[in-house]
Amino acid sequence: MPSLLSIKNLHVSVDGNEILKGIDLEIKKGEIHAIMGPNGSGKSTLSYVLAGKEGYEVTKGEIIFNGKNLLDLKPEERAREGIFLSFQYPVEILGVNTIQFLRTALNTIRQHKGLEPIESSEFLKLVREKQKALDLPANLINRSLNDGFSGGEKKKNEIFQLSILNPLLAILDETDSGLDIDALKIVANGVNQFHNEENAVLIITHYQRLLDYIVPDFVHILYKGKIIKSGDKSLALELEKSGYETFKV
Amino acid sequence: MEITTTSNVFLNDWINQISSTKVDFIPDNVLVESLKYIEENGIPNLKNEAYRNIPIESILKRYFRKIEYNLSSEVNTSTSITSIFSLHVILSPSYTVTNGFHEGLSVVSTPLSIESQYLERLGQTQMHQKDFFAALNTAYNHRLTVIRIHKNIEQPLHILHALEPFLNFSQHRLLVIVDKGVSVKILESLDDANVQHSYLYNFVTEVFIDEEASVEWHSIQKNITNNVFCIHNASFSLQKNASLKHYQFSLEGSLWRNNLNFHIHNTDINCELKGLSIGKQQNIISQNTSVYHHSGYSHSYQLYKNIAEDKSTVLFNGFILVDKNAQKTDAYQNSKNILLNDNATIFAKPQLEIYADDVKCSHGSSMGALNEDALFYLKARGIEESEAQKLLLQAFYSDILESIDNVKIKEFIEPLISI
Repeated sequence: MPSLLSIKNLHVSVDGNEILKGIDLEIKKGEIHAIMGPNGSGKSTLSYVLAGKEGYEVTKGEIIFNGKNLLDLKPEERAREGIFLSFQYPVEILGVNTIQFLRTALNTIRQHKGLEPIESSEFLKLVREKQKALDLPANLINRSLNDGFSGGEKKKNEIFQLSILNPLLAILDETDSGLDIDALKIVANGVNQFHNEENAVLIITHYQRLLDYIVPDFVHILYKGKIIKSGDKSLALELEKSGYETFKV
Repeated sequence: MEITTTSNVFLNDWINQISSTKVDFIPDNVLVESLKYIEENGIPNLKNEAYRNIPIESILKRYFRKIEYNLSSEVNTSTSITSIFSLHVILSPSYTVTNGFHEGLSVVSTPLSIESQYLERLGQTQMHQKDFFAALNTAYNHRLTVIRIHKNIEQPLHILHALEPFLNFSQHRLLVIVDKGVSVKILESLDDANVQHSYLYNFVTEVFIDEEASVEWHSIQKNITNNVFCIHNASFSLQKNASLKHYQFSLEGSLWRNNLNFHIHNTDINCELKGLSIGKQQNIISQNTSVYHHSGYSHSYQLYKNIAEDKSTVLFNGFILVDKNAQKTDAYQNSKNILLNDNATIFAKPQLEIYADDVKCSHGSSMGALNEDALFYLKARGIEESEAQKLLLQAFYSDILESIDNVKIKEFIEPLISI
């Protein structure tokens, strides 16, 4: 199976400080990867670089996504190619209606794939189905984007968008932070429902907790801008027991 | 004919040209005051605080050295300009057309004779003693239209300012009287589709809102012809228990200068003022609101949003005066400003003068670019940058648009806002 995402020797600087110092990562379709690391190890930088946020300078290396050079693409083009970032801190955007925004996004992505815009009734059906699955109150998604949402509701809303936009690669940037155990299960269930043999998931997290519900095929430890160890899910358990100190090189 | 003589040769020559078709309906004392104001103050220059950043004199010299103004005094009642509103009044230098005659509405325009009960109201709010263009309109007016509303009118009344082809200058004066207890919704707009060259339109509106009357006034300004310069002085005088919702949309135009004066003369008055200005290219859009609380126990609220694109300049000056006997006044003012690039300029200035000691007054002003994190969030979902920017700008002004009660008026305005 060819790689969906292939990161080679990636070096990234922010304001002249090198944050990522040579990352190599291969993700194939159907796989779930988890990147774990302490604060400041570069986890969020990696997710922003993949999504194309400004201010992150790639000084060396390459990222190939689904056969395309990702670094040549603007954030919106990456999203249309199938990259989805579930934000660690989803922004509140007053005056932008969640449903209208999501429909605009979905139709832009469909257009890119050569599909017709989605029918209203079909879209509403899809929305209702996913909203129920994620236990999101209907009045919430009819509001402005994330306006007045609790921390947990914001994270659910990210996974709600994931399930509607149905990308090739879902990057979950600390989606578990700020979630209580019930919300965590619902969010994990949403991700598991999304996941199939044609797509992949990259989980970025501090804790092993989420990995009880979304079981990774591979776990990588990111430390000071480098992946210092990779393994299967047992690595996460080991890490939980002994902490990051044990793995310092 | 009385003609001002000032030390400015250009101004003297200029006034000579515009004074040729002067109509005499302004009360004598007001006329004298206007002439005196022009004589003493002349064309506002860049040192004049109220016109700082607006190069009026160079605009006049560049585009209007020679005034094209030559009209017969006949009343023309046909026009190619139309309104989609069945009830409308079209104001132009050469004609006034009223359509959809409605019980409770009367319209009369010079050169027909105007009753003295109306004429004596002209200049009452003293705009001619505060602004050069208000004084100019008062001293050398071309045409006056009086609209009186004496019964409730359900459907919106459209007041349409029409500019005349082949001219480059006109001045209109509009007097609106809303009788006691009457409610009316007004849409005011300008049509410059006929104009092929530069044009200076200087208009004055005086609105008197009697006790318990309720007025929703929506003024929309968008020029489609380049080098059309519009200067508007308006005053709204409110009596006891009256309410006014005033909307000002200034969307594109070489120059839109609005001096809006609101006079709160009694108690239990509610005055809600909202506005959206969008400057593009090299537009200058200047919004000046002055709210005068002459009397206490009344409420004024202001929310103005400004967007500057390209190389435009957008200015907002918000002045609130609370007289010493206007106790228990509640006045609020806020302006929110978005700069879309480094070449655009916004000036926002709140100015409060409070002489009463038991009042609630607050003001705020914010300035910034579009939120980068919000833009990135939308783009990260596949939305094109320009579309994302549009969504955020729509979100920025949506509360103003959404608060318009009349659906037909809202539907008229919404498509004119282009960002």
